[in-house]
Amino acid sequence: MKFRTRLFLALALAGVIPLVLLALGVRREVDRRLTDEYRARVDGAVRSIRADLTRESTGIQGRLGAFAAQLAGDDRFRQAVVDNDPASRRWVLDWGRSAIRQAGLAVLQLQDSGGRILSSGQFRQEYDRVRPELPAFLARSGGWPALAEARTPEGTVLALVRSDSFTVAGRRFTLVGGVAAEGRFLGPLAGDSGFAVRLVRGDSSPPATAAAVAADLPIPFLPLAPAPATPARLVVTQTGATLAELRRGVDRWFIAVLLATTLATVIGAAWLSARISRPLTGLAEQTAAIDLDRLDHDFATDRTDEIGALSRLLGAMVTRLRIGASRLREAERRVAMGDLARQVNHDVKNGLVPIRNVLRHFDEVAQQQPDSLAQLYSERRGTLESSVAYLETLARNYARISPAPSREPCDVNALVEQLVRGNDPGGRLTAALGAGIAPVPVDRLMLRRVLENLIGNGLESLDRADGAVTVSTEAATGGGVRITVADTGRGMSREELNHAFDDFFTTKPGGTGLGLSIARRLVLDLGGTLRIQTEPGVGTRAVVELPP
Amino acid sequence: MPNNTDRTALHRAVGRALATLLVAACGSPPKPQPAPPPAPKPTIHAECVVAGETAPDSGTISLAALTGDDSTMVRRQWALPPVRLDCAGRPGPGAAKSWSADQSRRSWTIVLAESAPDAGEVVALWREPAAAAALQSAGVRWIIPLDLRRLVVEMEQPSEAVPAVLSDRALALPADSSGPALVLAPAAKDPRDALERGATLLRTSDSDLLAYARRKTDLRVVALPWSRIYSLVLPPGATLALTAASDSAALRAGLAKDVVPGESRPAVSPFWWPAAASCRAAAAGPAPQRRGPLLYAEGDSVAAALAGRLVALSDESGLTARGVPRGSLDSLLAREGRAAVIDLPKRALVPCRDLNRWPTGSNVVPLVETRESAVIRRSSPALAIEYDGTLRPAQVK
Repeated sequence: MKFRTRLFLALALAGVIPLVLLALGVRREVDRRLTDEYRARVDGAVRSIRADLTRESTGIQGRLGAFAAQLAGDDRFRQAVVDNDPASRRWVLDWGRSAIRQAGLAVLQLQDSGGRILSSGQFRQEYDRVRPELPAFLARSGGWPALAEARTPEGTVLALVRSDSFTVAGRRFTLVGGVAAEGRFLGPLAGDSGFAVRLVRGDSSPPATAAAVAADLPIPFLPLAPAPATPARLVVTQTGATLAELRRGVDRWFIAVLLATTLATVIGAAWLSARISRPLTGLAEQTAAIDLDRLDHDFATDRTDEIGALSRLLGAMVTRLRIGASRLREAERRVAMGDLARQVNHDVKNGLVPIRNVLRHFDEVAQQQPDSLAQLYSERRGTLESSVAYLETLARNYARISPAPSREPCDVNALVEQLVRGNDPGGRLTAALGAGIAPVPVDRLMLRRVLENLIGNGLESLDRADGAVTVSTEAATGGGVRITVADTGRGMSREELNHAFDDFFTTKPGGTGLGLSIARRLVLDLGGTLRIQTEPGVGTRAVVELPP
Repeated sequence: MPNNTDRTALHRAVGRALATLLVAACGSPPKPQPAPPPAPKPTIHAECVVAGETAPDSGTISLAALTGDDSTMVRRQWALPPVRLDCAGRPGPGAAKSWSADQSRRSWTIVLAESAPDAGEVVALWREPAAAAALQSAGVRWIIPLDLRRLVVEMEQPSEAVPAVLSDRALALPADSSGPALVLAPAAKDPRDALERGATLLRTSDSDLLAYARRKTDLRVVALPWSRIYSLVLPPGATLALTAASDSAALRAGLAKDVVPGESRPAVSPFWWPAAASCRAAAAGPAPQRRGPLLYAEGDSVAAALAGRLVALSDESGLTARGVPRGSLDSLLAREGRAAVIDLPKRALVPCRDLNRWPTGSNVVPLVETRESAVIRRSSPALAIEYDGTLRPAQVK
């Protein structure tokens, strides 16, 4: 698994896991609070129902008391019940209907001691029916509010009822009155789909539903005659639909936020892992390209973090490698010098052999046939000349292979200007000289050989009529000088670049394959670096950096 | 546009053509018979006229309309049946100024008033569905115009009195009136406000309102004829178990005394529907027996009170009373066999038609009769009271 992948997974997990834990914690807390609020709401509704029962019961009792006082003092009522006055009887029959409207009651009926209905507000025409059940039931309830069904022309009405009584002419009369239970207790919560208040008759359990029982309030109940009185309960149930809806809403938002945040975290982790691993990858690629012959990699960086430190360490390591390589090369050179000395010895001997032979021959002829010495010289002159030429060539070649560095302050700009002027084939070689460049301690001849090689390579790579080679100079960091030979030629492939500094590697017909190799060795001998930057079809930049 | 003269001529021509067609359709016309001796000219009895005490017989009568019937009454003054029935049910001149019968007592010659359309036009008007249905239900065989002002109505059965169908509203004809007009008073939420603002006439059964009117010196209260019979209709199969017999006199008396708002009395025989039972061609199949509430017409406080009392007296568990729109009451009664409390006319001019409100075989139990009273300003022009409580300006030409 790549470092970048591991880094991505680590970052993603490091971001997502706490986020998920946080979200789960928040959701659980929200759920808990919602549940608590909902329970408080249910409790409040139950308290409200209890309070309503008490308040309404008291209000009903007060109104019945007022009616009792009114009827007890009313002459028409007295005439109706005592004298059986027809007109007063009609007034009594109508009294219930008008009184029930004025009092805002749902049930109001006036009954005599025998249970005969004298006047009914909810069912005016039920007069003279004998219904003793309701007054008796309320008398047994001991003054507590009770629920009862009362008859109306259209059906029945369920009411919270109380009773009161009064006496006229020695006869006892009972007033039964009440308010509609559906409208005041069962109704107000009906608008909330999560609540339901129902009257459960008898001892039976509430109907099996998904709703949970929030409260169970026992209350006396008298169904419509002839059914007997039965215990009943006001059962408050809550289906939890509202709570479930709230939870669903929270869950929807929770999932949406979690997904969005997770996506953002993953994207951020991918970006961060790429950002972190990219310089490492670059360093790895640069490090992979290092070998003893290619120690000119630049690890310079402006970063101040660990990556920068690592890059600088690698740069220092390469510098040490470069110094070591230089020393190694020096040692090799010294070894090579020994070999070379032996080779020179061998070669010189080889060159001297014909000369010695000719000279021996001259000695023999001079002793034996002195007259033919001139002729012999004429005959063996070619041999001498060829041997001398051989030695000259040999000397020249050795001199080329192993120049003797002499470090003296050198004006690089002047040297470059001179080279450009002397090597320009016709306006295709230009110089771009930087200002303020201090002389650097180099062997002028070696530097000249380096630049001649680079300029020659550049000019030879030009394959277009408008191609050009530019030699530029600039002061390098730390007081050295940077010389760049840039051409607009065909450039090199990656494969060609990898072998560019190899001895005897050439892409040019008739090339020796030693130009860049020699130039690189010379630059290293001068304590500098040579880097090649190239792109096929665009051109090549050879950068020589020399220390101060 | 044609002027009135042209229109009259056109009407007469159309009438003659229609009469010719009617005669052709009914076969050979009867030979013209000699005109019978004219009957004594009918008149409106004084007891059925509420004469104004101080005002001339002109001007307007502003009616404080409390119900839709009041608005109908205003429109009705411009449409008169040929024969009007006064408050005692006696025939009087309407769109016809006189009538007579031949010896068979089946052929009645009607002489139209001058303000009525021509006989031909009348025949054409009576071919409208409502009028044609009334005539057919009443047993009218054919009608022939004799001339512009006379037409002959041939009945299937002889009758001593002028056929009652000629007093039916369905046969009402356009009438001109040069006397006082009946107009609607500005609407008022409280009827007493309408009286205070000068309304001349008000019909009501509200005892409190009548008591108020009796205390006003410029108003007088006149009881109108007993016009409605509220009955319990039990279609075949429908039952109503009461603590007392539904047709008992005590029950009726109790309903009239303690239940019905307004003036009422126990229903007293004879009733018109037993005699009309022969109208039914054959007994229909048994109506579906459906349990349900006892029905009454919405807005009818008398029917609601009676239905409520019957429910209160019922031993049937779960029985209730329910008001339904008046338009659907007859449908529920006839088609679905639901029991109902309905109001019937005290006098049916076309019994065979009115009998169709309930299914064949139904038990119709009369309960109470009701009537309204008219509150009339003493300065009002004279008003004529008809058999069903309709009030008309007395001077109708």
